[in-house]
Amino acid sequence: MKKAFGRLLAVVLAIFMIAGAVTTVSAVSPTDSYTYWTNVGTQRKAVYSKPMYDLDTVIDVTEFGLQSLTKITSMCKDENDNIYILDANSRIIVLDSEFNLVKEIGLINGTITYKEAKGIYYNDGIIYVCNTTGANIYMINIDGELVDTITLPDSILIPDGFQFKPTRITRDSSGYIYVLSEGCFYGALLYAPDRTFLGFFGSNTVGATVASVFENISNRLFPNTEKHANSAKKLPYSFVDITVDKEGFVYTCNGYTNLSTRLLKEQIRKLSPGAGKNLLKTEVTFTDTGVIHDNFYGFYRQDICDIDVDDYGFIYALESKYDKVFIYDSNCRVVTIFGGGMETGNQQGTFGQSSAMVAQKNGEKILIADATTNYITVFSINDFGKKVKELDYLTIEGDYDLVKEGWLEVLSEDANSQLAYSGIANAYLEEEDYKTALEYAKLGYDRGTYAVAFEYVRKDFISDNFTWIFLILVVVVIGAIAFMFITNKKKIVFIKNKALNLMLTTAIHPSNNFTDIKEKNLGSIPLCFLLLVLYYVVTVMRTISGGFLFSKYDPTSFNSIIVMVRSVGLVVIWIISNWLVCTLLGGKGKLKEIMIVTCYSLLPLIFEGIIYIVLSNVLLPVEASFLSILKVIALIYFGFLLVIGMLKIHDYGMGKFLWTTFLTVLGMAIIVFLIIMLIILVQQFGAFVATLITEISTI
Amino acid sequence: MLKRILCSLICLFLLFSLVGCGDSKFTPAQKAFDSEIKSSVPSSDQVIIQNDKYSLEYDSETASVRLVEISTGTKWEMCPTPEGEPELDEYGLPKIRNGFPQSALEVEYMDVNIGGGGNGFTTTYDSVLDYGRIVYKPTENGVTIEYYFDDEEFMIPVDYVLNDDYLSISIDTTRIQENKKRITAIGIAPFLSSVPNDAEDSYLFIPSGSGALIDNKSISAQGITYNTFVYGEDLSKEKRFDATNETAVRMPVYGYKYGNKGGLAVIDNGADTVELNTISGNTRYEYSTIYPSFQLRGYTYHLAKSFNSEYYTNIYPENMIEGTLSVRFYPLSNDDANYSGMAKKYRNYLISEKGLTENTDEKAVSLNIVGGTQITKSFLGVPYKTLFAATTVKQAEEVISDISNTVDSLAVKLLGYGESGVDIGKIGGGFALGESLGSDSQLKSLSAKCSENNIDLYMDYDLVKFNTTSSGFSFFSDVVMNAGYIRADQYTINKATRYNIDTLKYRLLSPNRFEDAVSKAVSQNAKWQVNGISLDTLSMLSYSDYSDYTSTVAYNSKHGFESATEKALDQVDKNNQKFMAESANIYAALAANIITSTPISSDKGYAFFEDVPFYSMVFKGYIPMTTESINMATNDRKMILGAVESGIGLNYTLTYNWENSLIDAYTQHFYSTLYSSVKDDIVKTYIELEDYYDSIKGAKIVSNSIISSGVHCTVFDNGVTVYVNYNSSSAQTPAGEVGAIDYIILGGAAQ
Repeated sequence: MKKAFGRLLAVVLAIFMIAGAVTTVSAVSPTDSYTYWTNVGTQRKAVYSKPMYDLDTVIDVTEFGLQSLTKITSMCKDENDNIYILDANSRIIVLDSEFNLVKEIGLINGTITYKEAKGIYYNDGIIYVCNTTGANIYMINIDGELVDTITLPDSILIPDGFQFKPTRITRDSSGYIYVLSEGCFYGALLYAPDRTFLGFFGSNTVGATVASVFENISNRLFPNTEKHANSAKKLPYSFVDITVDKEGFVYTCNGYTNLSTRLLKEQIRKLSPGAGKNLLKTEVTFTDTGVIHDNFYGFYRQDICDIDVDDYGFIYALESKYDKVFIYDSNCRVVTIFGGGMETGNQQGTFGQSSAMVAQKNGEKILIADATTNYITVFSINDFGKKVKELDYLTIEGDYDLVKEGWLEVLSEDANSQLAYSGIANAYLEEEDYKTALEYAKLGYDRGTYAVAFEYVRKDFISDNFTWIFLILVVVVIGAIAFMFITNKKKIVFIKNKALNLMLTTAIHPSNNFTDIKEKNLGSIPLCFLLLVLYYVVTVMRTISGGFLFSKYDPTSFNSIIVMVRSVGLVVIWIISNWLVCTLLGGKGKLKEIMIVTCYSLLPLIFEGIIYIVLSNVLLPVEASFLSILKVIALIYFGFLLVIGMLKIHDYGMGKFLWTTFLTVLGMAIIVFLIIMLIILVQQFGAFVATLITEISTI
Repeated sequence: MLKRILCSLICLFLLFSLVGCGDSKFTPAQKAFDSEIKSSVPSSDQVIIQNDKYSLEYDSETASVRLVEISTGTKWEMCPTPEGEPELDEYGLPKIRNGFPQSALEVEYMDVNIGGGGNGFTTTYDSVLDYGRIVYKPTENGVTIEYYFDDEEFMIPVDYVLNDDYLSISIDTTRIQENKKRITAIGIAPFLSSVPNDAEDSYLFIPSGSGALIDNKSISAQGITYNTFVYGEDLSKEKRFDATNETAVRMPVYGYKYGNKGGLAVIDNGADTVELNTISGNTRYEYSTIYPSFQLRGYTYHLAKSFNSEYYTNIYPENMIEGTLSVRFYPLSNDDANYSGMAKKYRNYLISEKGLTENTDEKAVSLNIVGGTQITKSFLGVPYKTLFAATTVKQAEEVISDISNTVDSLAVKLLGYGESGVDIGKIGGGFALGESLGSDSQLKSLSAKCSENNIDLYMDYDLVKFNTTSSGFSFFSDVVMNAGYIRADQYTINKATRYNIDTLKYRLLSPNRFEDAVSKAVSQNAKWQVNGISLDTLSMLSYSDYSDYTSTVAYNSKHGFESATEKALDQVDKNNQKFMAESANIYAALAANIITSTPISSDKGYAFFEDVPFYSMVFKGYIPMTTESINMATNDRKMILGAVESGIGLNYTLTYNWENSLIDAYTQHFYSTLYSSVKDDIVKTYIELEDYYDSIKGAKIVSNSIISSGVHCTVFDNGVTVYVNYNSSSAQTPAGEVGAIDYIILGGAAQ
């Protein structure tokens, strides 16, 4: 059989050596390539990058003397990289690895149609055709003869009313068959090699957020018809494509996701055998998040319609709304993104409706089918892309000694390559040049590598300067003890300003000091403002001056004005709200006293902030638990001081204090709401005035 | 007192409210539709006029004309008739042909009574031949045919004039009559430049980017359509995203080849309003065709919002453009019936009509040295924008000095040296050097050194896009308005989604202010003692402006943009400065001393089957050119092959410094441009091509031909011939085997 196929291939090759597809002379591209930098700030960043794929050719089957395709629904490849193209009009076109026509397969056995079939798959000499509307899968040979048929199994595991509409099929190296059925949210149908139905495999789950949990509780407590109807929508997304890598791991992808999905995660999964758990990083967002395409008629989210995986673990995803190809390495880092058209593409290399993809020759060529033009566009990897993928694979495999020069070359061609910075950092780490590793890791925001290099640098620093460090520590400790001893014994008062002294000792003697504030009026408003300023500065500095390993500071997205609103603003609103509430509820505290108590209570948070800023530049993330504990202690201490202070100045019992605190928080919410309303009102008034000015100026 | 203030405010409010009730100064320019005039038209075909070579004949069946070569009888028909026996239908009767190929005009119009947008479409075949009237008026060298569309109630007069070697087809818009339905576009002679589907040795030519050939194979009942605006999309139109990068049509020409005959059409009036339409492989029409559609009324899309939905609608101005719209059709035959012949013909047209002259001061290499870009830094957590110095003036001097040690003929553009760098800021970058980039004296020193070493130095000014009022150019009153009479806000697009970034808004300078802007740039250049001025955006962009509502004629549908730019550019020459244009539209190219980013590929429409270097073929030997930036190309080797095929110089974009805050840059100038990385490539490529450039200096391209797909041959007038293979496998040529992505040169020192 294989020989016959080979002979046929040779003959056809000879015939069609000259016939071919449209060749393009491409030096510029109608779309841009980009990638995403992660770990820069709180959100990943789209960054222009050097293209790794060039437009190679556009295949039009009419060039082979065939009738134009009706609608390409699926494509697959075999072990020789021959391409199988499924047309919605009961037709399969087979091309060889160089895109010459091998043969056209029409009706199976000359009579059986498979119109609107949505999936094609080749394995071990058999072509599987997912006859979606016919509810079966035809297994045919290369001559178009029916070998077998897969149908819905008669099993108690199949739910009642289950409609079998096969759209994709794949088979792992052990012979297990996975079938996707349209609209099936139970996962893939899994068949044993002997075709016994084993059950469903790896279904998606419905993600829950705090809001959704509350919503569910509310819906159950107060049900109505509309809520019931809405609840039916919250089914897990069904898989739209499935593929198997060389090690037998199954990869799936979700398709269209609706607007209600706030966070897009796990759109692509690598499923563990048996349990079907996702083995890829779950925090990774694939494709472009939060994108909306109005398309004049409606709104869309991204829609991954096809995935492929090569022998090196690179994942290829075709996103059909923006018509882009996303390539990820096995660590889910973006390698490159290219393509485009946004459903309006009329240039080669752009698409009107990308519908299927094949990553041929381990991703050296990527074929994209367009269901509107029925052309297949081939993108070829360029030398730069080859280099990046090879180096990335070696880096992931840990062959750091082989990659340094290569990554440096990559950087010379594309200074925006985050993978390169990370790769170089790892290479220097391997060479034990930790300082250079630190430098590159920082440039590429690779905190993992930075942490390892930093540990060595810190260790080296300590071992080189141990004597000095030890001596300084001893001197400081002895000095501190001596200082405390002498000041206690001789009752020396260094801070003679009573208000300042009171403020500084509040943390040690809260009860006494707050009593003094209430009864002796010893609190100081200027010191309150000073504390507020300090609190604000420390809050800002912990982000902008915190250690690289702890702070994801990005000047483009960080705004200290917002931090001020969130820190000082909250304190001020607390003070005002508490004063309003307590005035109504018989509290004895004055506005000034409330402010003094609140601001003096901030002292632990300020000290914690200063310690954090210093230690975050010295510690490693694995040692961060200390900082977390410190933060919790500071917060508890702050709360403790505030409670004591409030009790003292308002002269409340604990019950009334809790009640007024609850009302204060409620009052804060109302104040925030009113402020937001006011801002909106001012904005709208501003817009109205601007419109008025525009109208007047254009008369 | 309070009462007085209150009264004053109320009075002012009433006054403003009443302003809108006054008479506007708008006066529709169109003549009223004459419904009385009788048809007067020859009942049969007849010769209208003839000269030594050609005869102009009237085609009574389609009310169009045809050109006939007297010596051979070869016909160029506006409405082609299929050759051979007519096809028969199932009843044995001749098949009824589609009406569109039998139409002299295609008209789009706006009709408020039509649902779903109000746009209608008709042709002379559908509305005039049977249901309208035709008035035939012989003129001195031709004929005027008035087409009365009775159903639609408009009349379009078309003047057909036979000249020595071309047919002129023109429409004077002031003579157009219309009633309630308003004409928005007229497609002239839609099938004059057409070829039968599947005819061998035939193609359509479109000057998209470098130029491209369009296939004529039968595809489907719809075929493939590809429409593009001459000089690019009208930027004043409102849009929310930019789906792809467009390679614009830079020359107002098109053509076709059909065996031994062909034609070149030159849009010699109103080119800036034209949308070039191509239809390829449409089996209903039986022909593939390319034709111009003059947009008589520009428009903008506008996102209309209602209570719970939003939709786009088109908004048109009341008046149509004023003036003559004309196309010259040059018949071509035998050896000239190909794109080389078209290039030659168009070059001759430019020489005789537009004053194109020879310029042999060609440059082997041009450098775009990028000054800076705005990056975000923070002070105590408060973000602020600052200019990152990608290349200071001193560093630029070092780069130029370094490269000029190897490269003899060098042109340098300083790009983004204004206050906001390459980002959009003040008009002309504030006509000042960015603070972190260097001082005026350093720039003067650089200029002097360039002059000493015979290096042309150009300072680039963005005189089109700006986002703040400065230098006498108001962000409110000197900006373009779209057809909806709304300021045409533009936005930088998101790299990933390609949607507008609402916070990065800018506007376009009104063409009325171009002269002032160029004048300021020229005088600033003189202060810096820089002898060359580069106007990248002005030379490659075009747009409408409806800010003068009393006369929607000026800059309506981009009409007049070309002349406004030409007028502004005159000042550069008058002030004895050199002018560098980037990827220039024809009007800017003709004023240029050098063109950079010369297109070497097309827009790659799906029906395009081969890119051709038409742009370079026209200008080589007349205007020095260099390629797009090789180090920023998708495939740098193919870009170099493009330079070799076109005989044009190399272009590189360079920066000196990099830091990782540049990942936030909104332009692509920074990731592959670091001088330390690119330098070796520049030197290596220059040395590879040095002899070749010497051998073709000042030479003109005689012909360019396609040996096979992706394998091209260019012949220069001094005999130097180059074979270029863009394919990834070697190819056979008459000169022998050319390796994959390689070339062979015959003749000259480089052989």
